[in-house]
Amino acid sequence: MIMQPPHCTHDADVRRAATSGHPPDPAILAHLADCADCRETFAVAGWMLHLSADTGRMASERDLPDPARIWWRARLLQRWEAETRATAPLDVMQRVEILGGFIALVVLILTLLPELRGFGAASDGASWWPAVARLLAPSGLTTLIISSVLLLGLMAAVTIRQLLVED
Amino acid sequence: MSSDGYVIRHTADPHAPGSASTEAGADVVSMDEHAFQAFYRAHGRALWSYLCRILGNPAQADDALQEAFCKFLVAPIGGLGESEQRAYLFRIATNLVIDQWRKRSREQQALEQWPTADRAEKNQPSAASIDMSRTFAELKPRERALLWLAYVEGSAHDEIAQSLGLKPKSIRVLLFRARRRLAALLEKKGLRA
Repeated sequence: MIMQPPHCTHDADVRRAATSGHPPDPAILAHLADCADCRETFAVAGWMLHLSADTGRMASERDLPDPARIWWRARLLQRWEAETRATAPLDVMQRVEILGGFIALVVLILTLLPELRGFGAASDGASWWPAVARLLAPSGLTTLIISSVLLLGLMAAVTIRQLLVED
Repeated sequence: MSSDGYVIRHTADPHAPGSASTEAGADVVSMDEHAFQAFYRAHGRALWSYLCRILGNPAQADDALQEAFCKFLVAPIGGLGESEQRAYLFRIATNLVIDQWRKRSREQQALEQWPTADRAEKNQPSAASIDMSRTFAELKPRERALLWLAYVEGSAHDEIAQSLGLKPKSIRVLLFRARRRLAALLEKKGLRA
């Protein structure tokens, strides 16, 4: 069962009296004698006032961090955040490019699979030569060249864009 | 609207991703250096006091103070009055502290570190000061924050709720429990007037 806090109509007056720094007036004193909840409020509010004063003294004696340093740190933080925002699309694109490269590699392997099987089937070095010859035959060679050119072009485009962004 | 009459227009969570940023492309902090220094002089010590009591450690309060002001400076606070800016600053600071609470429990650490972490202080705290610090540190961090905001900062329940990320309806009960716990501690230690 949740304990519901009691509500006394004098609560605000008691708090005010506790934090005023002066002895409470007779009406408040009379109420405090009757109301346990307000006595507790009075004690806690008065103690918190002492704690606040003690902490204030500590704070006044302490050399707080230099505001100029905080200000410059905030500026640096903001510039860093602006840079992070500006380069975020590039970071995404880099992941896309890696994925694209991987897909291109898979496509290349699938395209060359019949020729590559020849290597696997060959039992000795001499029997590899027919497989190598098929790979270098016009159809296989064309696929290889086209795939390589596409990959090189992709890499060149990425490099040029990175250079442009850095400038 | 808060109890002292101003409307908190900025309700974005200062801890939400990207919230501590200005519009894309902007490269200026929310106030110029002179204005910031004046604001820091006006509110820095009050915030440090709050952080010191909530974290229970002056050195951690220094770090949290810098972090809070840094986040405040890069936050979109244009159009807020000074009292709203102060409330917003305390909210940022409270969120930082809550993050730290989530990372690890500081209650025991605070008890262990106070006042030994303060050995380098220019003026050693008095026995009464140590007693008060230790007593307050025995409360849970959230209880400390609730009591400080209510009794020292004089914040209204809805402001406390906003600062601590709690429901406004629950503040009255939580504050009552925190007060009862502190009263019991004061009674136990013979500190109650």
